[in-house]
Amino acid sequence: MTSKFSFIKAVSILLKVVWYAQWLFMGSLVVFAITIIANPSFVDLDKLNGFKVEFKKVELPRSIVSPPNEKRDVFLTNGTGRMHIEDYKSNIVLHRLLGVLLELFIFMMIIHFLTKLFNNMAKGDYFILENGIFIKFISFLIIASGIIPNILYYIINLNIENTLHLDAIIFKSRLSLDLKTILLGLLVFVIAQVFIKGNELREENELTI
Amino acid sequence: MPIITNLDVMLAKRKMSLTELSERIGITMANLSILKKGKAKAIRFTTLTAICNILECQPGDILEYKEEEPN
Repeated sequence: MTSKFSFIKAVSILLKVVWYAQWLFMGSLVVFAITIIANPSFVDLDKLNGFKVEFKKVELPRSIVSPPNEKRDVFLTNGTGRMHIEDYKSNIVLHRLLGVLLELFIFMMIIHFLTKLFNNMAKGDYFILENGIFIKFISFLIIASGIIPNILYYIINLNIENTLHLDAIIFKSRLSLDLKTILLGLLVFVIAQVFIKGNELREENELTI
Repeated sequence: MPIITNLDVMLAKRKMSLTELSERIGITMANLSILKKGKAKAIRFTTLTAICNILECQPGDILEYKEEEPN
C-alpha cells in the first residue's frame, strides 16, 4: 500500500515537472510565432532546422517525381507521410505553428487534469465526483486531439495544395482522423462514467445507516 | 425524500437522548444524526431492528411516508 502511494506521489511530481516544461516550450513557440509575424523573412528553412518541430528541409522523394507528361496524385496527409516542401511561405509556417500550439495546448490541459487527478489520489480520494469530472474532461480532450489538429492540418494542406505547383504532380489534401485516439478517448469517457457512478455508490453507502 | 423519520418524536416519548440510543445500539452519533435529520438514503434492517428493540416500537412509528408537495 505504501509503495503504491509513493508511486502516485512520484507521478504527481513528474507531471508537475512536465507541466512547467510545457509552459516553457509553449512560451518559446509563441515568441517564435511573434517573430514570424513581425519579420516574415525570418522563415528560413536553414534556421528552422534547429527547431525540429514540424519544419525540416527534406528533399522530395524521387519516387513521387513522375516522368514528364504523366500526371500523378500526391496526397497531403498527416503523420509520416506529411509533405515537406522547400518553398515554405511564412504564413504556412505560421499555420503549422498554430497547429503545434493547439496540439500542445490540448496536451497541456490533459496534463493539468491528470496532475489534479493524481493529487486527489495521493490524498486517498478515489471515488469523488471531482475525479469523474476530470477524467471526463480528459476524455473530451483526447477525442479533440484526434480530430481538431487533423482538421487544422487538412486546412493547411489545402493551402499548400492551392499554392504549390510542381510539374506532373497534383497535390491533394486528404483529411485523416486519428481513429485510435478517438477510440481511446471514448474508452476514457467510459472510465469517467464508472468513476461518477462509483461516487454515487460511495455516497449512497456512506448515507446508509 | 417522501420518507420522513420520526426518531426525535419516539426519543421524546421514551425520554431517551440520542447519545444514549447511540450507545445502546452501537451506532455512531454522526450516523444517528444523519438518520434523525432525514439525510439518510437508506436504512439497514439490522439498524431498524436495533432501534425498534431499544425504543420498543414498530418500524412505522419511526418511518413515515408523506407525499411530496409539487413545486
